[in-house]
Amino acid sequence: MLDGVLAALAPAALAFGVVGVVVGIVFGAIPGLTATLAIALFVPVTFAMEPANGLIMLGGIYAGAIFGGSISAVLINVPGTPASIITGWEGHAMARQGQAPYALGLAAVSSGVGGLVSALVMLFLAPVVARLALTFGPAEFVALLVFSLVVVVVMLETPLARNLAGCAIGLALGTIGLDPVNGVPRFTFGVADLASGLNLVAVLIGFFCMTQALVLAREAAQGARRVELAFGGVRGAWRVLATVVSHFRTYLRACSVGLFLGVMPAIGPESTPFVAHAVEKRFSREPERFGRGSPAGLLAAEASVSANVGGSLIPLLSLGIPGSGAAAMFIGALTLHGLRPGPLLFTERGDVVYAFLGGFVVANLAMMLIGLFAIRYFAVALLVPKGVIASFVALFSLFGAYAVNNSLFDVGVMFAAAALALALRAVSIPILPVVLALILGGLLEENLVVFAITVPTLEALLARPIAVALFAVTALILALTVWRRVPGHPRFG
Amino acid sequence: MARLAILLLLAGVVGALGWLSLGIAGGAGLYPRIVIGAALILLAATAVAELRRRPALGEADPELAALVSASGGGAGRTIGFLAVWLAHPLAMPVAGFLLATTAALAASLLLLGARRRWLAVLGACVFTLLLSLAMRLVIYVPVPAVGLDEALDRLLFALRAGRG
Repeated sequence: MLDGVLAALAPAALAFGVVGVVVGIVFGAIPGLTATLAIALFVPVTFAMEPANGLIMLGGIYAGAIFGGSISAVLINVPGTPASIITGWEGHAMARQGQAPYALGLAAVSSGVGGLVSALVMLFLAPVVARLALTFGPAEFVALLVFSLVVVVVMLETPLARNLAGCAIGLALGTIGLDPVNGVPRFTFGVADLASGLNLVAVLIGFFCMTQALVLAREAAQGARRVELAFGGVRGAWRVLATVVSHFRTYLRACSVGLFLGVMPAIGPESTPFVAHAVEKRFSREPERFGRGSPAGLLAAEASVSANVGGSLIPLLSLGIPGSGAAAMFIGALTLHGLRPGPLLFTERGDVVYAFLGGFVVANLAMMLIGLFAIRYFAVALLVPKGVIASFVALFSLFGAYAVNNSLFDVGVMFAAAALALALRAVSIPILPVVLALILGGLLEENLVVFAITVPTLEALLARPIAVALFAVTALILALTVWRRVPGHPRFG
Repeated sequence: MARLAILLLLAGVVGALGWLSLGIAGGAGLYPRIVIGAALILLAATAVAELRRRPALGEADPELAALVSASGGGAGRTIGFLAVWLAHPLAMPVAGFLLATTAALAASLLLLGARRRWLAVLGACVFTLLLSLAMRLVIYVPVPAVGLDEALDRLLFALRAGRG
């Protein structure tokens, strides 16, 4: 292990790690260009490199791309990646209060902390954690997915019926396409582009980017003024560092949530910040600040996403099971370099694996340094006139929706999603449950079908204690929320 | 009243999907029927709450209120901005990526009050050309190619052939 970690500290490995982070940040910051796409494009580039250096660069790209989406999310409320939606919620509220440099610094350092924790867990506990993931069957997955949806539904301050309506609408949208069990087309209207369901990236760009382009265009048309920025110099870095240190428990909770969901196959980083943010709000002494520019909410979202990234690599390296789309791209990279992911990887090619894990630590440290001393200056983007920003956000929204499948149909889906988002906002149905339900809906339906077949009786369910515990906690949270919102209760309203 | 109309429209679309789900063969229709049924019930509960209170459009959402408000000026330009970007994907197969995108970007910048008009047009031309090159040479995203795009492809091919 030590030899591998030392190999990651070689100048070439360090350089590739940092280059990977920078490339990843650029890709992540552009809506529609995802971590998966960045890794896919750079896998062939690593072919001529030493395997460890190539993997370190790809690890840096993965970590950087997941964070990069947060830059545009904080500055103009346009999430560069689906994983940055909550960051946009909290970070942009801080930016509107003139704290954009502070929010950017916090986001970058928190992303680094989350990645660092997951890298350390990977270094020391990967085989153990991977075995835990294998104990999860359809019953546990259904319980976990229902828990994730309920946690987000009860966290929002809007009336429960509206949150649940948003959730049901998201689940309904997720049923468009071929039925996952029988392959029967549902709501496709004979359109071949709908057979594989709605393009998630196009929908999310419509929900968050195109609507924001319209808001920015309206502000520009009304002659909105530019914001004033305070970068804070070295004192700004100290402020970020002090906030980070004072939120030790927030990081512990967010990283645990991120790692846990990352290790679970098929639960990508997109849904993680929703759950981490909701959990943190439950523990916070200032829950009323959540959604209005809460540093704790921002830290929790960013750290959980990065922890999820590392977590998704654990089953990949230990068992050969990718935890997310981007992690699946790593299988291609490993195979390209003659490595076979699985239980024997750590013993047969420990030198490369531990060098990669060491490099992942270095990449996240680099991200923290960028966060402390450089990323705040990205806030100068706010000095660009809003009309220019609105025009480019609209262009990249179209381009991002188109580029996923090279399909103009997806651009239409993006516009339809933007119209739906505006309609939902108009009637105060929150968009977050819609998004989470849409992301998790397909997985929920697949596992529900297998769950119904493999766990036909209550006795069979009681034999699965993890699922029972998760169902019980979910029911308790839902019951408590309903009770607290009953008129007459002190916490009603 | 506008909120209630939007809510009824949403319920109508969801109801139509529910109606269609009745025609889905076998067990494939069960799950959609359950979630769509739940959505309809919850939308109905929301509509009842709306009828009791009747809040204004954008009451708790200042951004939305500003977006749909006719006051404050610039509503025409915002609609123009939306029209430009709605027309862009329709124009691309006819005019090609380069021409359609340059025109849309320049029109959008001018509509939203770019101070130096010549700079907006020049910037749109240069940016679209760079984006087009990046899509051809770096990220390999094929876009509708007509006229100028084909000329660019021929130029790149000739440059490569000359180098080879």
